[in-house]
Amino acid sequence: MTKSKRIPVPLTFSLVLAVVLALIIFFGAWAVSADTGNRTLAFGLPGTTPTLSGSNLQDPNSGEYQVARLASAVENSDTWWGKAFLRACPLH
Amino acid sequence: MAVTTTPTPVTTGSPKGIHRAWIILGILAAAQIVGQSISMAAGIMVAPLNDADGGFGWNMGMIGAGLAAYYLFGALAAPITGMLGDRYGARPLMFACGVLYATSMILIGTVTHFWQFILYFGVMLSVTQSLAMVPLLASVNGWFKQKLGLATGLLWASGGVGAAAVAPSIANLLNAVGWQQTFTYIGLFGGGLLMLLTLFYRSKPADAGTTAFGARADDPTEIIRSKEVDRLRLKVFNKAMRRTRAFWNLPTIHGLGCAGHGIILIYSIPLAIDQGVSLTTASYILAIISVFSILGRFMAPILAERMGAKPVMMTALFVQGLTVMVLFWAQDAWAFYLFAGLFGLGFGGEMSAYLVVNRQYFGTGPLATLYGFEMMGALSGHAIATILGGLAIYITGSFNPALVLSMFFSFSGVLVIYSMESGAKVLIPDWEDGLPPEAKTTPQTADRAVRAALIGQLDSD
Repeated sequence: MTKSKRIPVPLTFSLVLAVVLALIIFFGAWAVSADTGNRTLAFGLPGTTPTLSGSNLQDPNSGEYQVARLASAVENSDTWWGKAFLRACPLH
Repeated sequence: MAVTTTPTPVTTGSPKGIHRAWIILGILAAAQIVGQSISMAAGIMVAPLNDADGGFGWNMGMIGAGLAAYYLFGALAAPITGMLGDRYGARPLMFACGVLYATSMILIGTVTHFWQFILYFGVMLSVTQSLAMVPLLASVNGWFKQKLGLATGLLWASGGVGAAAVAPSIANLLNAVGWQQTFTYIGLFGGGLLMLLTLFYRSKPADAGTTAFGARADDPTEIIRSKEVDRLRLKVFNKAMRRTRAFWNLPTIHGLGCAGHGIILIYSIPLAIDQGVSLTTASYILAIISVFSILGRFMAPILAERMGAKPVMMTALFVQGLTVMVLFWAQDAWAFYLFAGLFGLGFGGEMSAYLVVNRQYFGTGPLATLYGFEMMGALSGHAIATILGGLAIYITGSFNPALVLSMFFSFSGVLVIYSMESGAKVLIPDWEDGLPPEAKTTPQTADRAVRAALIGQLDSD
């Protein structure tokens, strides 16, 4: 057991945290800058089945699903979060 | 700070010869099923909330925000409920969980505005589930000196079976009686059941005037201390835990493991549909994963107790990661079903061995706080899986990057487990060195406690 007074945050924990944050920033910035047409934002909410065709399949007996698309009237790169992703990512 | 030493007799605590610990296990299994029903309800309520012709008509972004709030507050609440469990015992928290469950579910039935959904579902129910999953599950540690692996395995397996039964029940209720009545009934039944079970539940064996299952006559006597001393001991114990690598690595591993299977649980059905499999056929993928995960959930803690947790957890995570490769080539239903069976074994084994690992690393101390941090890691992993998987599919127009991410998370988890200390000995046997003399267990007793834990482990081998 380490006897130092400081809490020793292990390297593996810090590394995993850094990699996950980097991945979120990278993919977030890529999503903001990518030209994806009408593709559905695939956040796989329970009860829905997003597909790459841009339509959500569903139980034929239920009503239409309202799908949130990134291709909305406001450009994502103009939103505060879009700008934040682009500013944080050195690759985009 | 009064300290009294009361010898506790080795008794079963039950007049019919069944040890009280097994009755407690039954109560905890019921609480698990009630707790699992919250996430089951989450999946089922999406369609009515999103139905344009229904009473809500919310878009997926709004519902997604509610689910994100659920993950976020759940992750934040998990360590807090764990700490409360260590401090006050699991019994009052079970009662609080029942009250909160009933209140939240009934309030969800009355939702008309989006902020209400965020508050009732995203905040209140995530705290409720944290109460049901963290301190209650962790309390099994104190009830089983031996066979903790079997007890944990049974608990997780019953949770899996219960969850499979709860989902169709909620769906049928929604069809039969509508939104408001469904959640009122669920709230009254689940909350009432938890409150009723509190009457028969005890946080630890000493509260029932008995000893843990597997306790021996020569085990150290149970010491009943003042609240101040207990609080101090908890503080020093947690401080000692925080100084070990295992304290940080275990939540990391749970997070990586959950991120790995979270992506698959969310996106395997859309992937199958994209490959031309029908929706009905594809829906069996999750059912097969669930069924096979029960075997993994049951076996992993038992094997972890016998063989040591590290190899078992590494194997489970490796299987979870490796089987994802099948999805790169799967095109027919049978290939997806084959994947689901193999993946289910690894996925089930990934999640259920933590209570046994905690015992091996930290002995029989108050471990609900640690388990809370592990659950925090797990829920964060699910949130990360949803976000990163969704973004990767959206950007690339392919499911493959999401599958690669899933494998990356699982295999990273294997590496982190590999880097951990051996579970052959307790990591903080001298944690009482930080206590003032009046709060210590006598050196003799402490020595015997560590020795007893080691003998217990050897016996299991």
